[in-house]
Amino acid sequence: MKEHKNPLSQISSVTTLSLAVAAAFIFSYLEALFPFPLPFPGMKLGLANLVIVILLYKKGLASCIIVALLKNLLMALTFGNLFLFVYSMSGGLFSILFMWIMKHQTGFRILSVSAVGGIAHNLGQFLIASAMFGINTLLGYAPILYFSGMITGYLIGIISYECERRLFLPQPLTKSH
Amino acid sequence: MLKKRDILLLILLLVIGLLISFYIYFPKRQKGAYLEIKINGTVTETYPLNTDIITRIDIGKIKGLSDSIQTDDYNYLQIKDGTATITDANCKDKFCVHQKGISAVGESIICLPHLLTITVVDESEDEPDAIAVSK
Repeated sequence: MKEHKNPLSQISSVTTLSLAVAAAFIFSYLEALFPFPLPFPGMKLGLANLVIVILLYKKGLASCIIVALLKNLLMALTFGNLFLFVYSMSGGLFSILFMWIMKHQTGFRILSVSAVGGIAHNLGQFLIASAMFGINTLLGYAPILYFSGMITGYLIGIISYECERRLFLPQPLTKSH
Repeated sequence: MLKKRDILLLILLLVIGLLISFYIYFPKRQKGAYLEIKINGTVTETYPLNTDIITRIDIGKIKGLSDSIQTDDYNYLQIKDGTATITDANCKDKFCVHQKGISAVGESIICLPHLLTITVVDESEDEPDAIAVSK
């Protein structure tokens, strides 16, 4: 937290997070424009989660939540409604929380972290939807959600692994010299 | 890219997923006690599954369902040995007639053109005495 007192590092943080929000928004936007022809309605790759996963490794928990919040707010304002916001936010927060626990409390690699995040994302949405429509109507959909979350989580994990190694965020200048 | 524990996690996640799937898709088959006839979402009749009957469901007699339903539209319902089937109907696609008989709780046959659903239920919401012979 000390480094945040440095105005240069604050600028660096704001810039990085803005770019992350923009990237996540563009990914979501593209997915909304050209949905992948996946066999079940509502299923998508979740490319925006790529940004979240990388950010979790590069910046930390707070940045992820900020970016997810802003991205979902933008998506809801552009394409949807409040319902969509609550829906994506529940998935997003669940996913970030589980990934953060996975990353910090266990020695798993980014691939596994992302897979658990994918499942947690769908779990969060499932819970919210169950609270709205009753769990019995959705129970048959649960395994599909689980496996789609797992597969997309692993796919995002592979891309994240490759990106995370190559991506270097600008390090904030220090006053030491 | 992968450590041993990541591979173990992958296997664990697969096992959990399969367990969830089996639990949800292969529930214990429980013989149902009653058959609920729903037309356009509202329960119109309930029949006990332990009594064999053949009855005609007059969809066309119910007013205000849909413009596409004619006054002489019907489905024939048969209950035999605890299994319910639609034996005949004058709907377009005849999917309801071709479906297998239903006997376990939660199973249903749907006739979409006639807005008809028959579902096997565990217990009737009505009193068992007040049903069965409502035609």
